[in-house]
Amino acid sequence: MHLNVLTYLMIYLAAMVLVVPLAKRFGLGVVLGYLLAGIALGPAGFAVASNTDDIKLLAELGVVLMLFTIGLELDAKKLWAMRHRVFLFGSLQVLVCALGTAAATYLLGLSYALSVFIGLALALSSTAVAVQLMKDRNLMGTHTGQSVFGALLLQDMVAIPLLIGVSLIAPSADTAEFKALPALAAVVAVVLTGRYLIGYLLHWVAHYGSRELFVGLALLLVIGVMELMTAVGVSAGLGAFIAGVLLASSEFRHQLEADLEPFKGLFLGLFFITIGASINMQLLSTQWPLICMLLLLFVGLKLLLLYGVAHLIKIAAPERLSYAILLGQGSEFAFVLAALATAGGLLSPTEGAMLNLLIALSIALSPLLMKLYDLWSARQQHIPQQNSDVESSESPVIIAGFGRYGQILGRLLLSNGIVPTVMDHDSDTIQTMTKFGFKVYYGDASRMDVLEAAGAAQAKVLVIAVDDVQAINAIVSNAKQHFPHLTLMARAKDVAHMYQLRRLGVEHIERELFEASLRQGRDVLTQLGMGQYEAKELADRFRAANYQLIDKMQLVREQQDEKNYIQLLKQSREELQRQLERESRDAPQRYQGERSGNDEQKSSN
Amino acid sequence: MISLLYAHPYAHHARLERMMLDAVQHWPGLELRELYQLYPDFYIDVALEQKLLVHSKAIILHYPMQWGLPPALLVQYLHKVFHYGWAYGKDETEAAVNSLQGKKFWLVTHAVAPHHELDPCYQQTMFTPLQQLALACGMQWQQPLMLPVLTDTVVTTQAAELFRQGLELLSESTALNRGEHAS
Repeated sequence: MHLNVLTYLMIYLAAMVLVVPLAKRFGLGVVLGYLLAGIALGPAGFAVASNTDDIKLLAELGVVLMLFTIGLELDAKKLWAMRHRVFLFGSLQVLVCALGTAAATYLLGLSYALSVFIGLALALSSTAVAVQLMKDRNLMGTHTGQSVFGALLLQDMVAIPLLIGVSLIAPSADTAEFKALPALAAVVAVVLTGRYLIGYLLHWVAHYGSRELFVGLALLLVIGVMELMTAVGVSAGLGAFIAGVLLASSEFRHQLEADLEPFKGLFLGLFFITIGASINMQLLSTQWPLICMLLLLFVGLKLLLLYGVAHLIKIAAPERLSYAILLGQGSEFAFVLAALATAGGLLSPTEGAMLNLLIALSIALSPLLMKLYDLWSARQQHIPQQNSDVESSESPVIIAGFGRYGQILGRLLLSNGIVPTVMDHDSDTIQTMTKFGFKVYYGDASRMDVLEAAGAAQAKVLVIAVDDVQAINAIVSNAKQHFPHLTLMARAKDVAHMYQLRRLGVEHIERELFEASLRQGRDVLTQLGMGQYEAKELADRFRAANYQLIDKMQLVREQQDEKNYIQLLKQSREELQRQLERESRDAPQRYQGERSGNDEQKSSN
Repeated sequence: MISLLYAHPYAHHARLERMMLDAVQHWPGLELRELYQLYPDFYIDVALEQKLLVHSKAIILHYPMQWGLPPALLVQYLHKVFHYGWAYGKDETEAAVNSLQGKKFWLVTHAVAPHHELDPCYQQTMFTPLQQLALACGMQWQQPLMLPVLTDTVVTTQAAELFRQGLELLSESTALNRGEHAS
């Protein structure tokens, strides 16, 4: 059966659309859903996933796009701050895992060279899986997340010499040749164009082109880098990551991110599907005892080694396991390595297929383990609460999210003798804050069990100071449902979010930037020569008018009358301007008027 | 409706005063407005307050007195709400305004500091500015009630009784007034 690319794409998309929501519905997560869809399409299922090199290329593009967008979120300064995590902690992780796995394979009776090769190949982890799992749990910004990501970056670098090494030991026809000088030249070219040329190009297209051209340029950029890097034998992901970092300080950063987001998601989905499809069910069904044992051995050993590494690099005890699970699977690089080694005769075809299967299964196991870990950690957080329930009086205030917003609030409370319970998912923040006397819980406040562990049943007030709109809404609806007695106080991103929160039933909403800008606006007025108190009064009046306007807008908005809405917005802007003009003009006069009024009275009395 | 404007910056700590207020606040038609609760930022909703005052037959100011002066927010209130062109004086069309004409104006207070050492002469004169205000707005000045310093529950009950007697007088004369107007 010969099908063209479009037909394949159609089948893959159909599988995604059908299976992934189902998997999510049963709480299995997106990654696992894709893998299941892949198995369904693979040789064991409908067998449509054979001969799909084009799809594999698209899938690889998904990984490259992911690394590019991660690069966009890390500018050079942040990357520099991560250097220890990348080079020190990352090398430690690769070394420990490679040595451990190599030793184990040697003990299993394989040759010395082969053991080293397998050890190194299996020391790598899957960037796509780990990053996706972290994004699902909002872990990227945390201490653990950064360490995991640092290790993944180093692995991408290690993969290059590994690929060269394999092609030197076992030369074969399809070895991608690594040329040191061109590779260096290519990286320099990416750096230079990213630093100097791309900015102008983006400006130019943004200025003269249309919206879809910008998307085109963004894709061109990533695919260009990918092609260039593959041609010189450097990991395409690494190249894209560098390009992303160089564009991180560009003003088009958010635009690029937003434009590439749907492509990234879809192609990444393809990537997971191809992994699912490559699981050799036939081999698994004939040799399942051996493979299960090897899988258990491999994953168990890797988790153990990673746990040790996490201990060495001083990751907080409760998060070591999550570090291990996030990195505890085979890498997509290992597929390439295995293929090269098989082609070069280093591995026999059965050994190669076995290795492939092992890696694919370990990748499939990762999201499952993470899910179990989530359940387990939820239980863990539950237990100490039950123990300490009686002896310690719970704090009346819970603060979810302890960034800049939550910290100011918390410090105000603490300075007045109220010790709030704080929830955050960054272990760094937690360590520092515990020192200052806060009761800090590690955890995701949008989960009912975590809230309960933090004492939501006894507390009076829950302050939601997280900076992510989705997370805030999730926490609100969860708290509303399970702890209706709590007074909710939420931070709103903007007016639109404020409306969302009002609809969810939050009474105390504060826009995160409103009061600060109003305060500074007041200072601007005084700098222009207005009296301090007068400026305060004008700011107060502005606030009152603003709240009135917001109430009025909400009514119109609920009627979903867009035309009216915009008109009202315009109207009220003019009205406010008129009001302010009138006030600044009249204020001194009116005061004098009052005085003269008093004078009149005095004389009349 | 009778507006009772209560101004105490730390009302939550004034337990006995709270007790006294609880004893009187269910008086028929009495509306208690705690200024420091409503306007903690000293930004007063003038339009709303004026609307409420227009609908009141009597206005009572209740406050702890320091150096013979009312708390800052009450002074702010008097400046902002009882302003020229609404409470007294003339409006844009040069017509005389008297939004508060004929309303009763009653002060209920007690000295916080200094307790009893105020010069009796000064005690005579310290209400003069507020009396002038009532006069200028055409309101009926009622004899202010100086409550004893609330030291225990016995004194507090006595104070509440005094407050209630004053309210009785105020309501009676209001009703009387209405009767007069009707006839």
